[in-house]
Amino acid sequence: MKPLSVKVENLSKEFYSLARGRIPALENINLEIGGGEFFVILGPSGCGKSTLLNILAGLDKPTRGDVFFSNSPVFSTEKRIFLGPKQRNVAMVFQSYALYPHMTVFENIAFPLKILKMRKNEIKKNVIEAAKMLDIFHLLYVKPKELSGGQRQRVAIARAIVRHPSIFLLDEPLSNLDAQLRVRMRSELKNLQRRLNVTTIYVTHDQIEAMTLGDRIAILKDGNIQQIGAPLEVYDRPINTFVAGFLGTPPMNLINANLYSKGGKLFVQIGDIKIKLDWKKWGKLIDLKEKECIVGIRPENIGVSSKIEENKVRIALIEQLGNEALLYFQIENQVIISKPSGNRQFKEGEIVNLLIDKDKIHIFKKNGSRIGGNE
Amino acid sequence: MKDEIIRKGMLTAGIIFLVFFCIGPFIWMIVVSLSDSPDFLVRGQYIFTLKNFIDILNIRNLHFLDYLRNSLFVAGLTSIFSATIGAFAAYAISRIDFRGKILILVSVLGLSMFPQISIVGYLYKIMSSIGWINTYNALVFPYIAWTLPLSLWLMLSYFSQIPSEIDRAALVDGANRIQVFSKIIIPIGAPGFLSTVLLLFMASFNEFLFALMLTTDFRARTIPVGIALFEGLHGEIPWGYIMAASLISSIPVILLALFFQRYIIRGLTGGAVKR
Amino acid sequence: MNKEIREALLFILPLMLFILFFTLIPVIGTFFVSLYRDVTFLTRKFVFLNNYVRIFRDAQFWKSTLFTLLFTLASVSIEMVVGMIFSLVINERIPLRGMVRGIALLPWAIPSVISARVWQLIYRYDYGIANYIMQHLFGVSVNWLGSYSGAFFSLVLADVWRTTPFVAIILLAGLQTVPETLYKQAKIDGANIFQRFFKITLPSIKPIIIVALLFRTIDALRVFDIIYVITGGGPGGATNSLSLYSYRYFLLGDFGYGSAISIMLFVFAFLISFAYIKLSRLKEIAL
Repeated sequence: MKPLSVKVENLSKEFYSLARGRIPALENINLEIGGGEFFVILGPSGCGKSTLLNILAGLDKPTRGDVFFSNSPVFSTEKRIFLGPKQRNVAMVFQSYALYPHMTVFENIAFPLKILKMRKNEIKKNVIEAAKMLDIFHLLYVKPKELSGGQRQRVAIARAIVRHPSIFLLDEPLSNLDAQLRVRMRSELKNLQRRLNVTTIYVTHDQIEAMTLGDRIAILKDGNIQQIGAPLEVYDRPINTFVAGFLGTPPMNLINANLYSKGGKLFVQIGDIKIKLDWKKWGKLIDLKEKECIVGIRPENIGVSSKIEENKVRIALIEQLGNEALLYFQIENQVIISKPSGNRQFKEGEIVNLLIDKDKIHIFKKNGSRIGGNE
Repeated sequence: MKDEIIRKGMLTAGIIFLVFFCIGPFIWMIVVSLSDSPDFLVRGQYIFTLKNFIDILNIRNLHFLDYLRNSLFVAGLTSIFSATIGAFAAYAISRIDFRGKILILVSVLGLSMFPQISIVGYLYKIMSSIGWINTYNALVFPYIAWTLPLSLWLMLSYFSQIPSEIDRAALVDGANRIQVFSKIIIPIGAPGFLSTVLLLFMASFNEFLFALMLTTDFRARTIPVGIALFEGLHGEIPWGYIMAASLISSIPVILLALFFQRYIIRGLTGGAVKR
Repeated sequence: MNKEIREALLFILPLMLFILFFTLIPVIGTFFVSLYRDVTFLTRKFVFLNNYVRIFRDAQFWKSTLFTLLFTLASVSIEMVVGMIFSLVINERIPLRGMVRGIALLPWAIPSVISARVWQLIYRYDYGIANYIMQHLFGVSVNWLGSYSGAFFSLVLADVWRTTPFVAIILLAGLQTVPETLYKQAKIDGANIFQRFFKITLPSIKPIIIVALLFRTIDALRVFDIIYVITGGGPGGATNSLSLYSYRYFLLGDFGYGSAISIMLFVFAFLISFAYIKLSRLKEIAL
């Protein structure tokens, strides 16, 4: 089946509950996903990502908006069109796998084909093919309750791909697996998707999954899309402090700072730390009427040196990660984390000098929106 | 460990009390049913006999077997239909989001609060006018309606324990609602369905007031009415026959209670009692 | 959009139809009949609230109401206590627990009429086993069924016997929701078995107790079967429950008055439930 593209226009969804009245879950979502693309929707719990996925699957109706699969509408408020899941030919993998407990693995995978009234030997062929692809051929006649978490997940995926769907929806499929298994499954999923060339929409709260799996990612917060782009693009040029702080481990340092100019030069000040900004780059962007801003700089872009100069600080805490260390500094009630490269060993309480890579600084307005940086 | 000793002591006392309290009257029932005459305590002489049992099973005019047949039939039909209808409704209420859901639940619950006596008067008039008095219909239809609130509540509590993600997976796999219901929910919820059928059977089997008013003779009368109105062939209350009939009639439900106690308890508590 | 509602309707329709025709319509019908003079062989006449006025003047009605209320009070309170004891027993890991639970279910499982008949025989003045025991222990025979207090006691005991298992099972479900760790903590803190029961068990299952109380109260108000069989409302109408009183009039063919009585029974049950729910703040517990 040819992979379909997906377009979402001005989609909104509100829930009504007796206790709390109108609850907006999604507000004005606009997305365009290309055929065969691996698209990740990333956001914290409760941001609406599962709701969005359910709407794409046809399990839920939006309050307003349009959804198109390759330019033909599957949901349209004004044209009153609504295609149910059966008519959309999507496949979905749920966080809890949702395997049918009373059926064997074989019957679970065969279920959608039985609904399609495929012939028995055709079904068998397809199920075996899917099982082999997911490496669960040896488990075909077992019931779900005897399987491990990882095995159940493979069954869920096999059930999804056996229909050769045009769109593949995954709702946090890896979050119930332990860390090591998760790493393995990530690469398997990516390979699988490339092989099958299916348009894949993947929902998660784990930013590492988003960065490693997605061709493009959309970051969702409280029902609103914050930013859409390729992983590195969003990582390097976050559009606001939320996105900036969400991607990256450890997260980007977001520090309240003050802008000022002195002697024709532009500075940003955090406590005793002064950072000189390049006038050419920043002059146009900075509006000195707003003195307060937020400076963003990733821990890996903050180095330290023992040569004490003007930006001296005391190491408050060290976390050893094995191959590298995280250094914590405290400046005026704010915590700054540095992840320096190199093999230098530090001691807690030591006084060092902060080396901030000026090219990698982001500056945000006090309300969180981006002014510029790292261009 | 004085505390433990007190606890064990009270537990043992409790078990003994429970067993005697519950079984006591049954023993009395059995003893009288096997006795030639019910006043053996006063007469001082107990004559063992099976005559009571033989009589009620053989003497046509006592109509015992008719009552038994009617009861089993009516209770069987009621329980199966009521459980099924309840399951259908419970599925819609627990899975599909539609307006008026709460209204329906509240009104069904509210209607079940009405005393049977408030219903049976007019029901009698209805049944009279359509000529259903003293037929199986007169019992089965009202019984189904009367047990539906219980059926709905039970099936709802079972279905709510099946995660809705399974429904969604089946819908995405291309099944329509009826297929999801029949191929997925019912097989998974089968033990719950069985518990419901059991409880409804027991409720219908034991029902008295409707049967008393809506039936007039052995052609449709059920066991409870038969035993309540049991007249001897000679006027004096035939305790021997009554106890024998009671014993035989109790056997189905006693067996159900003893062997399916787990399902019955599960039914009454909506699956909450596990151990 | 409408497809969802259509599907839902399909599933719900059978239930709605049955309840509509065999519960709702009879209820509404009864209510209307109560506004008529509806007696067999007399012409039907709309008398509006006449039947209810007659009820207010009817001493027997109020006697029946009093009896019903007292019966309910006595029966439900005893059931709750005995039921609590039973549920504690069957909650434990005792040998043959399944058997014991099955036995505990028996009084409730058999038809109420049958248990009523057995108790009727037990209470029989001349050769019932109750008086046999009384004679041997105290040398007296009690007129269980022929005196007002005797009849009251007999009926309450019979009803308690029959419905305690139900209460026990409901409370059992509640008991199982109390986490084991709470008891362990209490033991460590030094609480003995009585303290654990009153300070931990009871408070934890309070919601369940309230629900069981509510259901049993409503059921007890409607009692019919055992009274019909054991005393028939006697002696002299002393043990007429409201259901039975209403039934008497149906038997006489006076559907109007009988219906009015049954509506009054419903009103009482409704008021008591309402007061009950308000007092116990059940709504908070439910939501």
